[in-house]
Amino acid sequence: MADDFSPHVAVDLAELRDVATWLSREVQALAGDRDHLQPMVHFGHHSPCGETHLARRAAMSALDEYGARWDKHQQELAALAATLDKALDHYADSDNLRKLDLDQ
Amino acid sequence: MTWQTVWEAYDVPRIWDAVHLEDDPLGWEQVYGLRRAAEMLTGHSEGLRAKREVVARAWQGPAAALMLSRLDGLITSVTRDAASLTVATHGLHGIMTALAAARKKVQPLALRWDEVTSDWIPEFWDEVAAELNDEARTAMLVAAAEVRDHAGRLAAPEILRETATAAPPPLPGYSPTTSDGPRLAGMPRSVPAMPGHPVSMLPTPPGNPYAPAGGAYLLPGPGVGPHGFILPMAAATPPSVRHSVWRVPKGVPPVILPVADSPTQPTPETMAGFHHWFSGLATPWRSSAPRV
Repeated sequence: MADDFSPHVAVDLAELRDVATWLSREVQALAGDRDHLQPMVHFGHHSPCGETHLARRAAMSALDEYGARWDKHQQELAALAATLDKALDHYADSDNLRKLDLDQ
Repeated sequence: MTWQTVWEAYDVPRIWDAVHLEDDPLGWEQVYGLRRAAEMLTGHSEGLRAKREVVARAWQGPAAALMLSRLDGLITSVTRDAASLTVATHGLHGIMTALAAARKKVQPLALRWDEVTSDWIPEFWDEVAAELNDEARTAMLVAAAEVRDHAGRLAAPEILRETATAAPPPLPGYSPTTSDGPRLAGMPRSVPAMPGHPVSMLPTPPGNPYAPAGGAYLLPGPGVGPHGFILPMAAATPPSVRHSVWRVPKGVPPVILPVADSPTQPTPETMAGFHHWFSGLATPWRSSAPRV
């Protein structure tokens, strides 16, 4: 009867480990490309043109916003990678404990 | 919210100052860097999607459902941002292209502006200067329209940050904007047509038959009047920095020869002195701005 309340769990540890490794690599890759989103504008610095001035402000704000979102993605990805690593460690530990039980 | 620039308030030298730093290699580097970032984000979202399928296949259980839910949320936001960053990169590329084109159009006009008094007789100076101004103003109007279109693709968020600019001042006596609304940060201010504010002028380098020692032809307009006139360099130069060289033929009684019969080749030092004098008179704001 206890099985009715126990959820079905199936885990391919090797495949999930690959995913966790990929997530960690992506966190590093995102960090490497973050510099492109520095809020700096390289046009219209000397222009009295209203449209160009507005474009400068829009570009600055957009870069600022994309940079913040980039950081958020990176943090979320790092959190997912850490969570997956932790889950994999738990599954591996649990498996080892079961193995010990069986050995005794 | 912004203002509408009245380009009649700017002449060729001022417009050149407004665009001479465009086409900045750092700007293009930024465009290509953003393009790489957008491509990286697109590839990242595709990778996340593929790994999500691996997780769904390799892991079943309550914790797996939570992980898949978080992955789905991340995939949605990354895909959305990759798409909008790609569009924004195209917008920035368009702005850079429009301003680089304006620079390319105005540069030869700025060179011709400096040659007007040498290439034309005085009767045509006003007309040629007006034509050059018209061409430069048209180039700026075209660029402004393109910049406005491309700026819409930057997906600007609600809060706009202020950016510092160092625009040249408008011509004295002209309103540089049409906006009747509130005074906006960065908006050009009118310059009164009073002594001390440089008007539009053409350089007349030393050797010019109408200003042999060099000078400036002040174009008609506010602060000058309906007719232009030549301001000789000697008349406007403080005595302490005056460098006049008179060539007197030996053995000949001193006579005043017709100007056209006594062409003089100004020395490099004379020309350097003239350029220093003219830039201080016509474009004093340049001395406090970075030049390329």
